[in-house]
Amino acid sequence: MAVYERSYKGYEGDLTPNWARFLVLPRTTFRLVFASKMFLVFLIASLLVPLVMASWVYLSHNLQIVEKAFGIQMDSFAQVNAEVFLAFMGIQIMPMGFILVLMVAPQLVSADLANNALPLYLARPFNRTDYILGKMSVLLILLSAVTWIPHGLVFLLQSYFSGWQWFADNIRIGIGIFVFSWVWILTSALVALALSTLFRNKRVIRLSLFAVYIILSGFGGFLYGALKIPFGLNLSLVITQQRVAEGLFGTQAEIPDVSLLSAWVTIIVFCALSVYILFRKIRAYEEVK
Amino acid sequence: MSAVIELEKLGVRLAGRQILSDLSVTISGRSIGLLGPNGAGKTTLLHTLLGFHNASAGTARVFGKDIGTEAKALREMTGYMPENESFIAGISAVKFVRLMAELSGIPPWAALERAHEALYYVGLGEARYRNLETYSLGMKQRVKLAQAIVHAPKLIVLDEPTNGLDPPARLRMIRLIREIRESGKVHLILSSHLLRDVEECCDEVLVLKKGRIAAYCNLEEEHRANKRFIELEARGGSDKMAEALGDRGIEWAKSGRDRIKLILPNTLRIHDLFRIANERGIQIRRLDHKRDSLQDIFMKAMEGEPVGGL
Repeated sequence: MAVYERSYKGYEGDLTPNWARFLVLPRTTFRLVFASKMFLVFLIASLLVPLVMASWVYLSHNLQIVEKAFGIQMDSFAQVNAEVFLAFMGIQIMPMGFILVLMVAPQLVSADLANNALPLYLARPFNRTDYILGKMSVLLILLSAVTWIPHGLVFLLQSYFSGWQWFADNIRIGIGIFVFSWVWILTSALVALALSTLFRNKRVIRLSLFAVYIILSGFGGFLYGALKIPFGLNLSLVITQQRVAEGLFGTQAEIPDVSLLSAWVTIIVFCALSVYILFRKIRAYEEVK
Repeated sequence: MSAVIELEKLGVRLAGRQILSDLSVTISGRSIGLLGPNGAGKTTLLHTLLGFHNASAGTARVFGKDIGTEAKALREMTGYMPENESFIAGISAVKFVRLMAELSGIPPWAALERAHEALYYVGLGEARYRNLETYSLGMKQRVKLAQAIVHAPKLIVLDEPTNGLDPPARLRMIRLIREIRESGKVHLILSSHLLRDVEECCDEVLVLKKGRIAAYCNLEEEHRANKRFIELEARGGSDKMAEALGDRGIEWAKSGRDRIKLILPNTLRIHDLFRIANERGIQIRRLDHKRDSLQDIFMKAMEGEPVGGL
């Protein structure tokens, strides 16, 4: 089908492997996402949190810089421990990571549904799982870049300054950063994508995400506080994720009434429900009853 | 020629309703027309062949591959142009077609090259860097065709490709489809409710009615057979002409005053009729082949339902 010939021509070249084809979607989507200057500014801003944490780690091992700069005598800087890592992770995830999800997720699936693009994808050697994986990997890559990768590097920086013994003693922090980041990334990505399939309008999707994370937390708090319903707090993804993080980092639970097991169950239920919605809604054509 | 589509008692139920029932046919033509009134099940059949819907009964094979168990392999060799407006928002035509080629497994560099070529081929070369949202309906139809052919499929499924097009755009689309067909490298399935589109582009026709096969025929053969069906107007003795035809073993019937319908045997040609008339001193004033064969086939299949209702 050469341009100059303008005739129909076959293709005899090699094909890419089946498993790698879902990666075409994030590449195309990233072009659209990074076209927004606002998104770019916010992405850079969200990397400031691990940068501040890294500075904290550096200064705690180089006290003379602080003493020289401020002309004061400092016997010790705040200790870098699991609580400090968890606090910084908390800020990174809520609000920074959550705002990134709000910015990116609404356009992932809803635009394809609104423009009837799913038959085009699914008429190719590309099934629903590939499509969901491709769209999800946009969030997985993006959120990894602002969570476990920078915070993991900060953990390694702290280990570098404190030595092998500190690394061995606090390996749970490193594992906690990695596992908790992935728990949060997967939950957020699945919930956001599921909501993106339910509504066509970006603003409505953002509002629904806000409702699931914030309003549902408030409602759960009301059930727990006012009506004394013990599992009320389990409606809150924010609280259950925090409880899971505390369990992984081995820190004291701020709200002990939410058991670690019930927190995990809540997250699994949210993820399962999202997967169900995704597979129900991602179809080439909807069956009209 | 080996079978392109084999249906064996295929049935499809959607949302509790039986849409297709008991479809059994083997189709081997290069370009297959799918005809039927609205709601006959044309689009459902196409969607089932593409693996969008599961068969509730029977089996279907495309190029010998089962649509249920080998759907992915099948889609690798299939290009699909959907009926409705379908596009990806926020990207140019060339990026869109490239994306579609890559999803079919073409490596990025080759996909880009083929995207340019496909867009030139469908006549969108100059507009290929424009965002799809800015395209007119005719351009969107052509870009859908470009994405359907970009990965050089063995089978192209076209669902109402001339939908909503003005006459020049329709002609351009038909010309493109015929060109693709005549390249000889690809099989086509064209679903339409426009008899003319199917007649111009297809060799074989499958007519559906209420989810069942109402007719299946080879248009080429029909055309050839129709060439043997002749109606003539003989001035100066149609009875004498009829008698002369009968003497030569030709089947005939009077169809009006001075008009005779006849089936020309393979041993005779048109000019033999003029010779016979001349011998008897009869003038042949008019001579027609049978026309509108597809319309006849369709009308017969619909058992008298009005074509205007299509």
